[in-house]
Amino acid sequence: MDVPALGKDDDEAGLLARARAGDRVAFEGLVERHLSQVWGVVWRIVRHTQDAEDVVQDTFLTAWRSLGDFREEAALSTWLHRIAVTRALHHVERASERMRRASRSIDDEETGPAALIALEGGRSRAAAESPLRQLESKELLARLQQCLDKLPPAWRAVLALRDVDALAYDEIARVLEVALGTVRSRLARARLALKECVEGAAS
Amino acid sequence: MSAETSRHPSLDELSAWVDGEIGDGFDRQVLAEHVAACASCASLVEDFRALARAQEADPVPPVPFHLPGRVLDRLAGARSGSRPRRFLLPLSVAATLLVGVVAVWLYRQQQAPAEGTAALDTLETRQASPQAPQEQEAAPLAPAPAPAPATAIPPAPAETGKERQKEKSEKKVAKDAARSEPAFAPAPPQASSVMARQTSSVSETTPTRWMRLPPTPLAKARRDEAPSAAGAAAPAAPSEEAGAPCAVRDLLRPPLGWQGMDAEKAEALAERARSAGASDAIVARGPLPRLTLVLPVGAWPAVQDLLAESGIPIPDAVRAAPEGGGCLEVPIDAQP
Repeated sequence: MDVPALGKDDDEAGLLARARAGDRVAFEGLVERHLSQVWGVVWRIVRHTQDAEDVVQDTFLTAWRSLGDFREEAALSTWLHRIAVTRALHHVERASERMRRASRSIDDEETGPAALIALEGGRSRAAAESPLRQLESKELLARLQQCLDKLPPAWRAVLALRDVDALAYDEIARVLEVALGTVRSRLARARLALKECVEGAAS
Repeated sequence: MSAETSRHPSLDELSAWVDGEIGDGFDRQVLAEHVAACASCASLVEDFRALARAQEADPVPPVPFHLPGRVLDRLAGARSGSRPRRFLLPLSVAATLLVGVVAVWLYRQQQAPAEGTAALDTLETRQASPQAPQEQEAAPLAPAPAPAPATAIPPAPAETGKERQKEKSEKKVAKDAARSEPAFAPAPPQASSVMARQTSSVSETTPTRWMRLPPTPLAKARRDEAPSAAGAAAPAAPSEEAGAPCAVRDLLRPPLGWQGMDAEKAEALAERARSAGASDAIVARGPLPRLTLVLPVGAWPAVQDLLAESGIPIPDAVRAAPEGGGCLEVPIDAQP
């Protein structure tokens, strides 16, 4: 007996309504739709396959359990992103106390004078011919991967959401549950840190 | 460069400008003119763009083939926090109260005429039979006797609270779900997910990517016979051989995999597994299909033989079936 219904023909709203009514199979349809994207953002933050698997499982489990709290003010994808990023950051922070401290110090810097010093330093170095753009793309990619591994997870998250997933700043703010200004500031500093790391590795 | 455009934009402003997110309060034209005239700012902007392109090119490993199955497994062991379930608390409280009130009312209704005629009844029954008063006194204590167990649906397999606790401790997922959910919630999908799928409407619960094979005539006959056969023989014993519904689910989670399995092969195997005693067989279609067999513990040796014939390795750790009754759920993933 072939069994009908649910699948690509079902729209997301229909699946969501059924899932909110407790239909696990409908929720599985939503998992199927969003798994790849959730996997991508989680992996870019965690950067470890086994850990990313754990986080992705936790993400969907949390979503299933919290479905009653989803208000539909944001898109489902944004809501899932929020859970995924939160779980991924939590996972990484638990795994590395050192990274947690680094992340906190970075947030402290965002409004402090150190940021201005970094900015001016970055600008003056940028005035010269950028070593970053002298790199072969393969070499740039290799160094980028090394540097992303070193970046604080919170910065990896904001870079992944913007530079890869191309989320708007207000969407990122909703995902990270921070102010719009914090998104702007964190993203700028993450980019500068990444640039300096790649150039440092190149020089 | 004019005085207005000579001011260096901040790092935040440059970064946001790269993204087209500079904000309404900022003069985009002024910023564009500055970047065009300022080599250091232009270089920074170009570097940011180059980094964004490089990140896009940074490959993410593909979703592991087994991850979808694991996610679904975790979901199967958890309860939803969906809103409708929250209505169950007041609803269940109200229903309980209502049942209680009705029961008390019925009991009093039964009591009232009995009390009114008690003296006469007692006199008459004493005259008729000296043993009758005991029966009359005992009657109100059991106003609605339940049907005899032998004629009722066979009870679930005997299972002590301790065993149940042990089973829970072995299943982390189920434990997590239980911890996160209120005690009043209905039975979790995990505990009865297979049976829920068996008993509920197919069109309501089964997606196209799932395919449940129809029972073979033998399996159907076993299932049809299950309640009466088990009830007549030994009401307290689980009717595993008859393929009766499973009250206990032991989940085998070995790395069972099948190289080259596609949906057609999975369906063929599922059909044979039913003949060997599996009570349910579900094929999850997809790039890498999954076959989930649900079977009484007693059928595990025969199904093992069948799996071995098909080239599916059975780890030593799971060759022996768990002690006690109930069912096994055996997921078999296609190997890429």
